[in-house]
Amino acid sequence: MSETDNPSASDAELIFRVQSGEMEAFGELYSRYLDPIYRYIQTRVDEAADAEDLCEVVFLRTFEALDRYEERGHPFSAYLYQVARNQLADHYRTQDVRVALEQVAEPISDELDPEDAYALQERVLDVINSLGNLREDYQEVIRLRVVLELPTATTAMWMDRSPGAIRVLLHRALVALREDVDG
Amino acid sequence: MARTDADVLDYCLLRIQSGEATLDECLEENPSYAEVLEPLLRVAATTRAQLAPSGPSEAFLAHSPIRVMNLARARVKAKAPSPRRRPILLLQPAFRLAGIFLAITLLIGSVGVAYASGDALPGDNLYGIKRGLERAALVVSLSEAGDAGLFLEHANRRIGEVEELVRRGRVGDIGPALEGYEHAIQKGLEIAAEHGGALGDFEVALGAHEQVLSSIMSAAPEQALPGLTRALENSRQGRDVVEQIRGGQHPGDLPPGLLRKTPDPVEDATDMPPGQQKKDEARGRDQAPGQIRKTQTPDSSGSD
Repeated sequence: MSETDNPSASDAELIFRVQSGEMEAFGELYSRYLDPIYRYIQTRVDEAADAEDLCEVVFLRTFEALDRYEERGHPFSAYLYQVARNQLADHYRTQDVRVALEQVAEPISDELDPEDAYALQERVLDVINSLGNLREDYQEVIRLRVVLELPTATTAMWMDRSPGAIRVLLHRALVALREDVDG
Repeated sequence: MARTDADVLDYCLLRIQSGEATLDECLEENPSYAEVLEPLLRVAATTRAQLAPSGPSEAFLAHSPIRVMNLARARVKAKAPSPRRRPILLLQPAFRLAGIFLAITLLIGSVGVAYASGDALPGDNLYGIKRGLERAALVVSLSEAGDAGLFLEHANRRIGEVEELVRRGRVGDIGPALEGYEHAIQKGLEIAAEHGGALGDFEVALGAHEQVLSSIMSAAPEQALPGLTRALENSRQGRDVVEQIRGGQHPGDLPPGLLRKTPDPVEDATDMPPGQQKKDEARGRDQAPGQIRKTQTPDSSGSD
């Protein structure tokens, strides 16, 4: 999902073409970044339909702002990520987004002994619950680096920090998550 | 350079995520860090296993690019600059109207006022002039096809006005724009249905209007939702009309209420609560972005 995945045209070239009125170039940008942006949104909402709606709105908002877009040392994907965050914030303001934890947690295998299954289920719910108790930047680095498995460099660009800072943040976030789960 | 716990954790995560090593292999490779690493890597694995997103569905991947590109094109059209900013428009077919527009604007005293009214919104002083010029253009239009095209253009402008008003937080002013939208669609479709032509343009535009309205609704305040919901319904009904006419029905045979539907768009929309629009199962063209549940719990502020 990096900016160099498609060697045919860089993001900067595609953006320039969109700004010059070539709509098809926006289609290429959309195809290129649909998956990572969709997955990020999916980690933040419970319904697939909401993720789909929000994802399209993110790209449309981006399209509307593209004529004013200037690259300022950050990749285009980081810009999309910021638009997605803003859109999610709007979404939270107007929606009931509290997710039933039982809906999030995947069912535990039937093959386990019922007692073990119950313990494991409890553990899973603890983790999910604890994640919600963490500071926002801890939650975010876990979402990006652990749940979405984005590379450290990409996570750093999206969160506007250095890779070293992301490594430290992730370590602290996982320590905090584990303490909350055990606490 | 000495490695920190954070460096080793990041390195191990990278190796596990890329499939180069298992969690246990990472611990064996870094015995002096194992005690610290193990609980963190395990909690990370549990988190990932439970929360990993499934990604977009095949249906979404198939329909969404078309939907988004159509909407983007519609927005480019709807936001086309006024003649004041893009004189090239004077060379288009509406050129024949330009002389008459000019005469009218001279009559009312100022060319500048007329041009400036192009961006006026409901509630602005110049909005009446803008709508007056639109009516004048209809009066001097020389063909039915021209009339239908003008009504479609007016509908596009009304949607643009609604969007801008909501963006500016002036939702109290959207009534005239929504009313004008309904009127423009009804009149335009009546003419297009009777005289043929322009149905394809209406179909594309109405689809785009649905998308824009749904998008506006996702961020609009509560008080604006009844009117916006009504406008959305008008867009859908308009597309139903187009489809039925294309299916061979004569406009006169259409059920009442499709082409003739004139109750007040704001007052009469209370019978359809926001969020009751049915979600199309396949997320086809009837499903617009932003058309999401509105349960209105402002206290759920989320994590941001």
